[in-house]
Amino acid sequence: MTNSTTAGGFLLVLAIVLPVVGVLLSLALGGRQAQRVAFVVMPFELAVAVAIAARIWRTHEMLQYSVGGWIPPLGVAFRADGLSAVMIVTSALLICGIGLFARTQFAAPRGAETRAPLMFWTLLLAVWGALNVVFIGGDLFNLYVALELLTFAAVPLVSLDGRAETLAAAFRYLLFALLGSILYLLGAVLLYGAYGTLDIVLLSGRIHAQPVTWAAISLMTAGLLAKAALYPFHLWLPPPMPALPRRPVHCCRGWSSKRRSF
Amino acid sequence: MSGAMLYGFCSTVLVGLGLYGLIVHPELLRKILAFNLVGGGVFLLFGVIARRGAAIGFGGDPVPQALVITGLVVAFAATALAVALLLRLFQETGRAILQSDKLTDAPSDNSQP
Repeated sequence: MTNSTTAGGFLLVLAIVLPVVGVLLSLALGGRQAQRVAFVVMPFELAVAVAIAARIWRTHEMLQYSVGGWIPPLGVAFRADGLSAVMIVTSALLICGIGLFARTQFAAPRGAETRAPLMFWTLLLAVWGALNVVFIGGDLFNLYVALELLTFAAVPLVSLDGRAETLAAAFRYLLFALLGSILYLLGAVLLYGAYGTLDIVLLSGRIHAQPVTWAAISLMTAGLLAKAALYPFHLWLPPPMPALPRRPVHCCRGWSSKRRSF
Repeated sequence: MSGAMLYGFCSTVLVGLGLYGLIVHPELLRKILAFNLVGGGVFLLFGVIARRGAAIGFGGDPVPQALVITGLVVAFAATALAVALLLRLFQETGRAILQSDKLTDAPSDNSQP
């Protein structure tokens, strides 16, 4: 049961695929349409988030989707429990709020298309997709890739206005994020070496307290903290700012899923 | 087994060197290179673990090898993004170090003459 796709599992795929389709459409259609694409994607994605939360609320069971039908020891699973449903809904609400708030600042220009609005709306959707992967990823390496995706989407968003201090802040953020993610990856590879799986649920069955576990957990926690503790550095940045403090909360999720494994 | 141990030690050394460089050097290009060094160490560790998990008929566990390829792509993308950002920063400011690093360095230089 825990190793197969549950009934509402396709919702999890939708939660990831919708923003990604939005990103691709924005890039294909160009700067004038990017905002429109974002505003079309937002209500659908919000609806998917609410549907995931409602289903979990009703059934009290974890949603699961096995990608490509491969079950976790070899494949990658997406899972959503109550906590990740709450996070998905929260980030959906936040990003819709950011979109409404930034509507005027990054409105599509009348004349020639400029890069800032195109990039803003595209990256906003990219951040959204990456956040959802982070929240429902059921595999430590998948989480690493999702965290890097989040970094790659968030760093250009931070440096969008191209001023020198903004670029410096973005670079500082990128360095901390890269250091954090590589420490996290080191922890993940140690766990794989010790237990032979990266799937969080399988890992929670096999893990036990021994030095390599403590080393891996502390590396991963340090990595996630390095990524999370950085957000006060760009408090001056108005619109994308609310997208960034999600990270500490994710950190809590990382903690809790590790906690679950003990 | 001893070969795997040797590579394991190599990866430890690489991670240590990279971490040192990442923390100590103020020049951003060196920081990027140091990050790649840490990444190299971690990927080598993946290789070691793949080798250690070798079973009958396999020279190594295929899963970590697949992960290494993904990790390499991610690290390459990160490096490209960092270099692009660094170039832009250099165009804007004419410097390739972060301003506040100099500011934080200055008092520490004064405090330990």
